[in-house]
Amino acid sequence: MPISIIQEYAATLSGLTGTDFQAEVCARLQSVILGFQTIPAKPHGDAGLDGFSHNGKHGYCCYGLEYDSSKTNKDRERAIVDKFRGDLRRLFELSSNGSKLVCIESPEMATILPDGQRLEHIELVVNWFESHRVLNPIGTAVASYKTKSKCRYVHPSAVVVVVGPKDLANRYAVDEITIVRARQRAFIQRVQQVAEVLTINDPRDFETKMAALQEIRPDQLRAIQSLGEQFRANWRMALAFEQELHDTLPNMHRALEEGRRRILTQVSQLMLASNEPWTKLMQAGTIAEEILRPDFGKLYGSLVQDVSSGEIARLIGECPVGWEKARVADG
Amino acid sequence: MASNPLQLLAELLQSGRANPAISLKRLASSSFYDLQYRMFVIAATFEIHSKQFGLQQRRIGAARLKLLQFVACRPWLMPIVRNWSEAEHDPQTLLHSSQRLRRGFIADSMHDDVVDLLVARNILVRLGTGTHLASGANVDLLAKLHLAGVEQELFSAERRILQELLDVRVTSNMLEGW
Repeated sequence: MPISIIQEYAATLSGLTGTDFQAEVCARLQSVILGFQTIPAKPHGDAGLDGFSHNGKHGYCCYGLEYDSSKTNKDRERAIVDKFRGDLRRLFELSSNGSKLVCIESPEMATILPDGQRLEHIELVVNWFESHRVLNPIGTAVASYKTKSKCRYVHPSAVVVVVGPKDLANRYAVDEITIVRARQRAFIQRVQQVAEVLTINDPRDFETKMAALQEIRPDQLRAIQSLGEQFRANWRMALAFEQELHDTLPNMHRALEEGRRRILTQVSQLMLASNEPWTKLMQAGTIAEEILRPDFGKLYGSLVQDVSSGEIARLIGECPVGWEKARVADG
Repeated sequence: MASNPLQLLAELLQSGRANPAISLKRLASSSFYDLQYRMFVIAATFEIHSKQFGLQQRRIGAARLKLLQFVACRPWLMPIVRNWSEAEHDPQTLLHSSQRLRRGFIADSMHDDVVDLLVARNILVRLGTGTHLASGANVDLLAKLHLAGVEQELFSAERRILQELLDVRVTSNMLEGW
């Protein structure tokens, strides 16, 4: 059973969560629907709508449910229903006051849809659609909202449908660009998630250096502590990036290895050749970025800066760059 | 105080008149690009997973070898392979468990290079259209490599994973690309 590109895209979509899912859905719809308009959530809010098309007749709301192994399907169903009911209430200009629905005004909707236009078709796009049990509560809520709302922005006969990853993947042709974009997004999200929970195997050298720094500058304990945390976070990011490349893109992992070797050589040379090596340390981050960007910038641009800082943190943590307190005789 | 952590560190060290201690010792390079290491993993995989072929030869599917050695080098992927194998009849789980691993092992071009070398040295031979690899005239080298690893208790994690993989059903579906 070879897996089709459509199935891979559906699987990648369902693996994306939060704003990454929303960004991918919007990018996908923008590439296949002429006139698809995304709605920036900042600074005024998106009024519950993530995009619209057909000159304001079709609206799209996204929900990238955060996966949590402790959550049951029932929890997921509830989360999806709650999220979309919330979005729909905002579109219908309603607020729930206990069990009652109260009409409110949504000033932002007037600044989103073209004048006089009302949504006639609303798609609720979600990354987990493995249960039909979300349909009844959402459908029932829509019927109720229609009766209570003044329907200034949603037509009373509007149709609301739930769309899952498989539906979205099947609906339009999936090409290489779509797949690469989705993989890239999933890769970045995964690196960020792994970096948050990753444990550095043996940070003793690093801790020793931080302790030495505290001895050198006892007046800056708090700054040094925060510096240490920053370096650890960057280091974890570099390790997560390496691990993900290693498991999924071995050839790019090799390019990273080569890049690391060059970073070490250049940073060491620069510092050893200088009478004031610490002033050169400031350039280390830039050197790392300049070395890594040609290989990784196009695919993982948003990660390169963090990974570059992480590589320098790694040089400090894993031994090549270190320091010691000046002896009295040193002046 | 500087907002860039490297700048802050540099300022603290500079003003504290710290002595630099720069070690030219290179960071330990990854063994994944070490030819001997990769040859050992292939040797262990071949010794443990190949099957009798004809009277005097042993053989293994080329894609199977590629997947097994990929996992042997990455013991943390073992649970994913198990899930993948067990989820063969559940398309949804199958996709989630296999997607990244499948892409990873197929892209392992260093393995292809090492196999090319082993074929050139007549340690392995390609059968038919290259779907299988069989023992060549110099296959003893692989057996010796594996034996040396066992005797000197080297690469025990890799060997343990390869033993565990004997209990995992690797189907043809798992060996296909996208």
